Amino acid sequence: MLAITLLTVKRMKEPAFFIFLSIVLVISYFMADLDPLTQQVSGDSIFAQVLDAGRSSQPLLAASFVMFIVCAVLGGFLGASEIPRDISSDLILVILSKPIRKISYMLGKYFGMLIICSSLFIVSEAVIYVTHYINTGELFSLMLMLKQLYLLLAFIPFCAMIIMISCFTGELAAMIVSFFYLVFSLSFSFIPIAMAMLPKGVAGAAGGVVFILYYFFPNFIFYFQDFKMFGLVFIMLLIYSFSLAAIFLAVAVGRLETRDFSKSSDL
Amino acid sequence: MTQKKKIGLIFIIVPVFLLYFLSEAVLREAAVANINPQKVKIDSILNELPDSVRDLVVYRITRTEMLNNLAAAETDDEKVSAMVVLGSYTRDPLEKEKIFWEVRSKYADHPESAAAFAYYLLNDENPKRISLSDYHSYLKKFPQQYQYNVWAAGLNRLNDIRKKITWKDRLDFLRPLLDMKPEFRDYSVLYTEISRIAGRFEFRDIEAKAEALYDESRLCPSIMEFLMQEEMDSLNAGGKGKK
Repeated sequence: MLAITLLTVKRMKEPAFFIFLSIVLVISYFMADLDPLTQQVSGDSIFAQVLDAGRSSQPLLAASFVMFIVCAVLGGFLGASEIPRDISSDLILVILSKPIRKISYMLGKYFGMLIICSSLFIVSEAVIYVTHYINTGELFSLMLMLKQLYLLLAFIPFCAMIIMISCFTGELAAMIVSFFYLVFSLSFSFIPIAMAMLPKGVAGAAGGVVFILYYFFPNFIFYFQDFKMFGLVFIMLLIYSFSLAAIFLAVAVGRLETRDFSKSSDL
Repeated sequence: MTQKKKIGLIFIIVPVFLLYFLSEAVLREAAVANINPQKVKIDSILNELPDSVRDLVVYRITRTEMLNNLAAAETDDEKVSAMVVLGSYTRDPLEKEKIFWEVRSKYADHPESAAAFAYYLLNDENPKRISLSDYHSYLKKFPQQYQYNVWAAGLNRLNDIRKKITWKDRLDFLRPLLDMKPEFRDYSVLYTEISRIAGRFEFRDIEAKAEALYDESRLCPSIMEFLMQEEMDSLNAGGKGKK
C-alpha cells in the first residue's frame, strides 16, 4: 500500500502538478487579505448564521474557503485520472500481478491523492499566512491558523469520493463527473438545514424524497460551520469524515473487485 | 469477491453506516442550532430548497394563510371572498368541490361567488354542472357594476375548457350582452370578443350590433370610477349627517 501511495505521490514531480501549484500560489496570494467569510455573505442568510454563531473566536477566512474549493477542484482533476490512467496503460495489470491486493492498491491511491490535495491546501494556507504577515506585519493567532486547517478534514471524504468515481469511469469522465458531484454536493448541503427551519410537516413527502437524495452527497457545509475547536462537533466531524470516506472506498473496492481490466472491457 | 470477503465487507460497512448517520444527525443539529430563527426570513429558507419542495412549501404556507383568513372573516362578504380564494387556490379536488358547492348553495346572492358558479359552468365531469342559461340567470341578479366580474369569470372558464366547447358556445354565452345597454366602459372588452367571434363566422348583423355597443360603452365611465364616486358620495353623505 505504501509503495502505491509513493507511486501516486510521485505525480507531484510532474509538470501538471507544478502548473496547479503555481495557480494555487497565485490565487492564495491575491486572496490572502480578504475579510473573514462571515463578512462576505449577507447577514440574514442561513449560510452566514451557520458560519458565525459566536461559538468560537476564530472565524473561517474567506481566503481559506476559496482555496479549499480551488484545491479540491485541482486535486480532484489530478486524482480523478489516477486509476483510469493505470487501467488504460495496463499498469494496473503489472501492479496487481505482484502480491498486492486490490484493496491495498486502492487505499494506496487514496492516501496518495489525500497527500496531494492536502499539500496543495497547506501550501496555499502558508502563502495566505505569510502574505498577511508581509502586508500587515502581524501574524494570525495560532488557533486561527489551526481553525483553517480543519478544512483538511473535508479532503478525507472528498478524495474517497473522487477515487470511487474514477473506479467507475474513464479518465476524462471521472474529472467531469467529480466536478459536477462536488457542485451538487455543495448545493445540496443547505437542504437539511433549510428543511429543519420549516414548520413540521410543511414539506410533506417531497421533503422525504429530497432527504433521501441528500444522503447521496457529502455535506461540506459541516466543515465550514462555527463550532468550538475541540468539542463534540469536532469529534463528530472526524467520525463523519472517516465513515463517509469508508463508504465511498467500500463502493470503490466493490467495483475494483468485479471490474475487468482488459482494454476491450467496457468502462 | 469471495464469500468471506463479502461477509467481512458487510461487517465493516453496517457499523460505518450507523456512524455516518449518527454523526450526520449531530452535525446537522449543530448547524441548525447555530441559526437564530428570528433573524432568518422565510424567503431565505425557501431559496435554499429545490424547486419541487419550494413549490410545495409555498403552497402549504399560502393555503394555511388562506385558511386563517377564512377563520378570521366576520361578514358574509369577507367569508365568501375568502372561500372563493381558497377554493380557487387549493389543489385538492375534494376540498375545491366542497368549498365551491358551499359558496354556490349558500351565497348565490353575492357577486363574489362568481368563481364558484364559473367552476360548475359546462363542467361535464361534475353532476352539479351549470348550463349557459343557468349561468345567465345567476348573473342577471346583479347590477351591471358587479355583473362585469361574473361575465369575466365565465369567459375565463370557457377559455380554460376551450378544447371541449365550440365557438358557438362562446358566442351563445356572450349573446345576452347584445340585449343589454352598457353602462360601463369595461364592457367594451366583452363586445370586442363578440365582434371577433361573429366576424370569424360572418354573422354580420351580430358583429355590427356588437361594434355599435362597443362604441357606446367606450363613452361610459369605468366601473372603478363609478364605485369610487359611489364611495365618496356615501362618505360625504355620512359627513353631512354628522354635522
